Amino acid sequence: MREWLSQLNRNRELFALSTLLGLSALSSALSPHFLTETNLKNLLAHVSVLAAVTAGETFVMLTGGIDLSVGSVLALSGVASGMAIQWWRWPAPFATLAGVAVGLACGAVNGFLVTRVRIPSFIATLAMLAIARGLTLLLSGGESISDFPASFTWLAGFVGPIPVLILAVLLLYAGLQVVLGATPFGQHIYAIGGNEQAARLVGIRADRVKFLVFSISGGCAGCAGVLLAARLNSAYPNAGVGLELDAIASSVLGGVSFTGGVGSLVGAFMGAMVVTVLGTLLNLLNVSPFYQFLAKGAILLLAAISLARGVMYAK
Amino acid sequence: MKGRVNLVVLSGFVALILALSTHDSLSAAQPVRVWLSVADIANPFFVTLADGGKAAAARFNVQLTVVGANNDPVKQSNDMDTAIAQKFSALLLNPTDVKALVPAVERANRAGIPVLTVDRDVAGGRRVAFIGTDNVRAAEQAARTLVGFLRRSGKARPWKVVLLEGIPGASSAIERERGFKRVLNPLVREGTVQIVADLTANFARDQGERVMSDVLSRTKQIDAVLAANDLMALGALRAIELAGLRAGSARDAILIVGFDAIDEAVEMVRQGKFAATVAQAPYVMGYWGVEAAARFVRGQWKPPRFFLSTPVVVVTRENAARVTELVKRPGRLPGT
Repeated sequence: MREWLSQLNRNRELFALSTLLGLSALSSALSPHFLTETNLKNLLAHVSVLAAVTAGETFVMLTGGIDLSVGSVLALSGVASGMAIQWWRWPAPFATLAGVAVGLACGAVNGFLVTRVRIPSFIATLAMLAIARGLTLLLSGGESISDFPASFTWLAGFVGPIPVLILAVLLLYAGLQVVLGATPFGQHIYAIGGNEQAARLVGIRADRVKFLVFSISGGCAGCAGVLLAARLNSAYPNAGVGLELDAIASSVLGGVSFTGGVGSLVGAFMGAMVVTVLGTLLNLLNVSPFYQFLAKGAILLLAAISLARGVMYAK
Repeated sequence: MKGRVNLVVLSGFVALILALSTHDSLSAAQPVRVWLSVADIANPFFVTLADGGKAAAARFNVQLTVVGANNDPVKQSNDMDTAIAQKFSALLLNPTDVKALVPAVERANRAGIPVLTVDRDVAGGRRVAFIGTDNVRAAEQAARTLVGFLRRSGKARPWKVVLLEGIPGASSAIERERGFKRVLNPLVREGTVQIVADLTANFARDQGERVMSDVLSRTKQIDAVLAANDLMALGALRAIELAGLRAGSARDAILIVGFDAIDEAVEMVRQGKFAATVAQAPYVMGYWGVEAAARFVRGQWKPPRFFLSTPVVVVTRENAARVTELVKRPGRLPGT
């Protein structure tokens, strides 16, 4: 048993993978509708938004920081692109870019607050959580912006049986994986998460790396906001409330260490899958949402327990 | 040096606060100062409620302050304490929770500031009046409208219905569910209606889409969706369209009945994608609330009874064009 757990600890994605497989097996056993084409398509479409946000969250967590603002930034970006299309009649590609740019800008502000003003990321992004939500409400007047042209909503369509949403997100993951795995910048992220003091001493420009990491997280949330707006055919100002918690849970489930330095994008994606499959399973079974919280909490706790092996102390 | 910077920042703040508060002391003609706290300013329903309040404020010489509680009872309770400290003449409360706001209401009572509740009531403390929709009765009307459409559609029985419920524990969610089930349960027992799914989407649009998508991957044999608010119904409509199905009152389409009659939902009714939605009159709630507060404070009005129920209109294709005027006529405040 102990050997098995330490094995899990070394391959931190294994917990997410085994949970995902187990949960999927359980789902297909409990509900004949789980392994249907419709459901799998839905699942992939629904995981996209969470997965995009989780990718950015993972970057921040790898440096040992945290980004609580992702849900609000998602809403702000969605509303920004909705306004660009519907109010200012921008062509869809520009509106899409505008949404992502708004996300990037929010992330950059987070990065600035953390690296230049030296506010802990928990506080800085908590402030951004409130500010971005407030801006979203102000800009939209509290109402959804709906009915986008087909040049925008094709994002919610399909290529063959595969949702465009998930293709977009996989593309995002591929790009980010290259950044993380094949560039000095990626190595610096891990180095800072492992030991920021040491990283600084060997000449890594930690502030620059952290600034970029928060910007990436904002950009990911921006992408997610645009994707969700396309999926709903509506930019909804209350979208993504509480999403930061799902994103953090997904990262942790996927083996990303909360203190930084350890984890992978593949794991993060699987973590997001676990969270989404769980919700879908309970909906398919017509189970009260009260249990969804319990189940999510229990799985998160199990993941954390398996990852806590070998840790000397926690704070 | 640092001390001087702090001093500059501090005096900046003081100047800002003074600048923001001067208009309070400049008012000449003895307006009544009324505070209105709505549960969520992101919800168009409460935007309309506040609009009604503002219209009445202009009409009855009221200085109205509107605050939003972000659906958070703690924030709302704190906001209310601040309002009590600011000595408003009357407090209009749209509570986020039936019980959590009771202590704050009691504190207002002790401070001698009259409290009126709008749209939702609280479970204790003294309130002058409660102005709102009778949610149970309105939900019954929604469900009866749905059943009427189902009867006329010629769909095979049992009719398969999906219920989308609101935030668990919110009184409007509880009352609407009660109203829905009061109508549907007898039909379920006699085998005319089958409830395929009874899930919450927390009054939210994205969750409405999510939940309905999941239901549709379980079965596409669905005749109707009855949602406890329009945002969830709009989400469900999106899920239905994404699944390649049709919404509407045709025989092979899914009937959707929403609740609240927000602009977008009324538009859907007009286009025939929603069968119906129920228009409460948030505008009238806000209007009556501010009017009642002003008249009560000036000693011109006593509530004829505690619960003043505002009118409800079932919006269908026939009256959809006129709904704005139908629900924005404040009419006469009971007791005036």
